[in-house]
Amino acid sequence: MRIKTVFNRRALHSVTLVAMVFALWMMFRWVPSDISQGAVQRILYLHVPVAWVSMVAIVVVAFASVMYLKTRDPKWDRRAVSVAEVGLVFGAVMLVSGIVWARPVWLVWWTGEAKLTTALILFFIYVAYLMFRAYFPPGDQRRRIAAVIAILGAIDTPIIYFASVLFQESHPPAVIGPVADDSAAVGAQIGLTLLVSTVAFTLLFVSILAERLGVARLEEEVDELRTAANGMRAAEA
Amino acid sequence: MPGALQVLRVLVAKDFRLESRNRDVVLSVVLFALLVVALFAISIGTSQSVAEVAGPGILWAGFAFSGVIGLARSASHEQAGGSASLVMLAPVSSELVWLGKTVGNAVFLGVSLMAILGVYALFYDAAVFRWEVFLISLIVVIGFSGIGTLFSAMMLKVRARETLLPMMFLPLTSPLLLAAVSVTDALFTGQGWSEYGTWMSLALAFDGVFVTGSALLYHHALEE
Repeated sequence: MRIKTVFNRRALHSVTLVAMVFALWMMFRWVPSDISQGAVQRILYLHVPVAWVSMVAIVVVAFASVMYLKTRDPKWDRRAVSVAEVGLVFGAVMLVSGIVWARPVWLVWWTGEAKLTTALILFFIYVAYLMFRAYFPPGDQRRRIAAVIAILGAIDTPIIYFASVLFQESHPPAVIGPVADDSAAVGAQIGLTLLVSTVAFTLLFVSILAERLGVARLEEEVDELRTAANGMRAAEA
Repeated sequence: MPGALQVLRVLVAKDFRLESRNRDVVLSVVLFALLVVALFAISIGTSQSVAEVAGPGILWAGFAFSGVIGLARSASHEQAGGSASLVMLAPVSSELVWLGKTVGNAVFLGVSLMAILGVYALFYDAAVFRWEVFLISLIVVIGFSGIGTLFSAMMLKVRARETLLPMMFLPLTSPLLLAAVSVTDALFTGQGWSEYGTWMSLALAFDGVFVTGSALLYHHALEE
């Protein structure tokens, strides 16, 4: 079983590697530069896929958390924390790539745009979720409370977005860059590159997640062995 | 078996008794909020232009930070006095325990917010004492107390909970804070219901979803 799992993971990593190399070739060599934004527009091929993966991660963490509360099976908790951790890394890449793109295009590093505000608030919620897990004593209560936090965070996501859109309407952000009013016309080559990079980054996410899940299983085994060893020590004494 | 109202009365009375012994929650919330508003007033001034641009933000940021401190203190008191574990032994539903604690917290936060509004009016000469401001204040206080009661109970066993509680609570309640800032901003600049009606509805809907959710999920915070 273990050999099969390792083999499956290797196959997954190989497919991911091929997809990533192909996507990078499309992003940097195949697709032409955008007429109005120039080379900086290529950040889009990184930014959009990682944003997509981060959003999917929120839904998966919430689903796994609901399943944990329903079944109390630790495997759902392992899935939730693993997806949250990898999703948070992707979320950080999304924020940084967005900031780097905004500076030359909007002429500001940061603005009150609704998607930016929502992404930042969600980033903080999931940082707090992982901090909670690090600071709370291990066990069923930690798993249950973490699940509650994840579910509340996911329910809050559309409300935060709606509030940010409303807030942006009443306090318009300073988007004054050279292409601030550029219409979003996506050409065929741009669309195809976006699609391929989205598939590649989704595979990258799944690959890293597979490794993280493996680590989570080992962590649990170590915990069980420690508990058993402590029990034996106590019996000997 | 005592009725639900009787149990609620006992639970709320317990919080008031704890608070009356040292007045720790209300004092810490009021003093911290006053300090925040005063520091803003000293550092960026109290001119009309500052009030227009940053006034509502200062007001609600002051309340949010001090409110979290109050919620954490209230939960710590209960843990230190041992009443948290004793309440769990009582044969009453977790929703009722949550409601009792929420009512207590709402009263403390409400009193504190009134004091902050008074000081804000003093520094920025704003017309805060009107029913629309009280309405949004009530909605925010109910939301903060309901969700805060759940979160402060969840954080009781956490190391560094003074850091973690605001980190978790403030982003989650950000829609409520944005609504409060926008409503007061519209009111202070003389705009009508058409400008802040949606925000008021959003704040109400937020309370509806999260206060109910907090009540239903509270037992997870109590169960060992």
